[in-house]
Amino acid sequence: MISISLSAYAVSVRDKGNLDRRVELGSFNRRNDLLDVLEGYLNALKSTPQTDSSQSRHSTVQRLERSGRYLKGIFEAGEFGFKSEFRNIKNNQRSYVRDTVDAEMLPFYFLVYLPDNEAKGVVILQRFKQFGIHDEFITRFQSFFRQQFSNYAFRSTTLTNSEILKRYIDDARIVQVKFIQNKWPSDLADEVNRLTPVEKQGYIETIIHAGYKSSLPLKEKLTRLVNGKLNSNKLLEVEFPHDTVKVVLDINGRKRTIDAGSPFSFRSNFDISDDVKMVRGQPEYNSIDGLAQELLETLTEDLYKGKVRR
Amino acid sequence: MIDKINCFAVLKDHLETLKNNDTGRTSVGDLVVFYVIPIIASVILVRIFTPGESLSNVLVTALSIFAALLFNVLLLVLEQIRRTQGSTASNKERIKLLLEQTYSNIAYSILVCLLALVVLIVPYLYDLKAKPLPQAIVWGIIYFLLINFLLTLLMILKRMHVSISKEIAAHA
Repeated sequence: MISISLSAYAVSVRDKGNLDRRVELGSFNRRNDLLDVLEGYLNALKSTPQTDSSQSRHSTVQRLERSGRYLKGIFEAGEFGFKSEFRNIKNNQRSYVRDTVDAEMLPFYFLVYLPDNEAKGVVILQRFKQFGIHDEFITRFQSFFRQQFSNYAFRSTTLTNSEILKRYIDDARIVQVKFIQNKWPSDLADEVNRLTPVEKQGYIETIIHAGYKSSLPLKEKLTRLVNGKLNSNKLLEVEFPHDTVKVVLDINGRKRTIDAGSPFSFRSNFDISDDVKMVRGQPEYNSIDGLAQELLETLTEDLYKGKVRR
Repeated sequence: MIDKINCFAVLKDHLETLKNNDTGRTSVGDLVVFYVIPIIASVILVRIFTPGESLSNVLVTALSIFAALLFNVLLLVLEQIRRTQGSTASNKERIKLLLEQTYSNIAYSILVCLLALVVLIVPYLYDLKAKPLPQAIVWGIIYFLLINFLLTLLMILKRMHVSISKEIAAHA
């Protein structure tokens, strides 16, 4: 299964001359709005794609929308610099020969929320398998910002959700624990016998469900797991082999999946592989947008101690 | 000259099915079960058991019937393979592969059956009672082929059971 996740960052502007001063995002340097600066930067990237020869990366913005204090869209980034062949896997015919100047552009969804009278904003960036756009989106914007406003610095920190998760675990119902085995049975007959239309190709899931409107009794263990005081294989000790454990929480009707096998990753990455609708191997825009908006709401509840203002 | 009776492809296709489904590599466990254990068992049987003429008769009859039945089963499996074309199962390709492998296993078991029948003719043509070593070799081969045949039949039974169960479930 393709891994799709969202990484969340808290962003702010710091006054280099007075690091303790609270700088509002809507009016830093008295008249500049960070959202306008970022929108201008992304629009420029949309018209003129950027090529980083040192990293062999090419990037552009494919789609950009602004609504209130939000920016969202699709950022494209890809590697170039090497030749390769693209083959049709059905007939093994060569469909395209990639040259060194060709870049395979992958689309990445982004969502930015920069409230005008707050000192912190949120940037949510999509990750596709192990690929992300943190460098292209945030690090390059930092350089751009530094050149434009030499007295100010654009800062970003990973928004950890372990604190948020701990709070949610108390309110959530643990509705499923999934044990995923990435190994197939050694006998093809066993594989065919086990697969049902519900299970997916590529791995085998064994799922333990909670009863109707009830929760699996794992909250204390899950909290210890989030704190790094419990190994995922101790969450629910089972006989059958498995490579990954995923826990599905129901938080007021919304489902969140935690990869218990990678506790560090769920502190900063929100795995939406199971929730997002995929079209031709990529997340469907409205689907990932909806999930990102939900994530933004939950993150900003904690950041701003209230609801997101639209 | 021997192209028309060259059944090496039958052996090769069967051996291809003795692979670990997860890694794709030849399964040492399968080779042990289907070849090493029959060799060991046939050596033991040759040492402890003296076969009589009645055993040869029974084996010839049984193997002849099996060979004929298995030819029919081949056609059934072929029909199953054709039906997978119209299947809507999400793992249709894997079911088809399973049936193709079962087809290879059945063809191989027919080959083993025929080889065993040929070797069983030897005691009828030559009196081996006074020749312990040739008798041991001939019966060692027969036992080996028989055990290999039975084990292959078990594998075929399992695979047919899975395929047909899936077919029943799909039409339920």
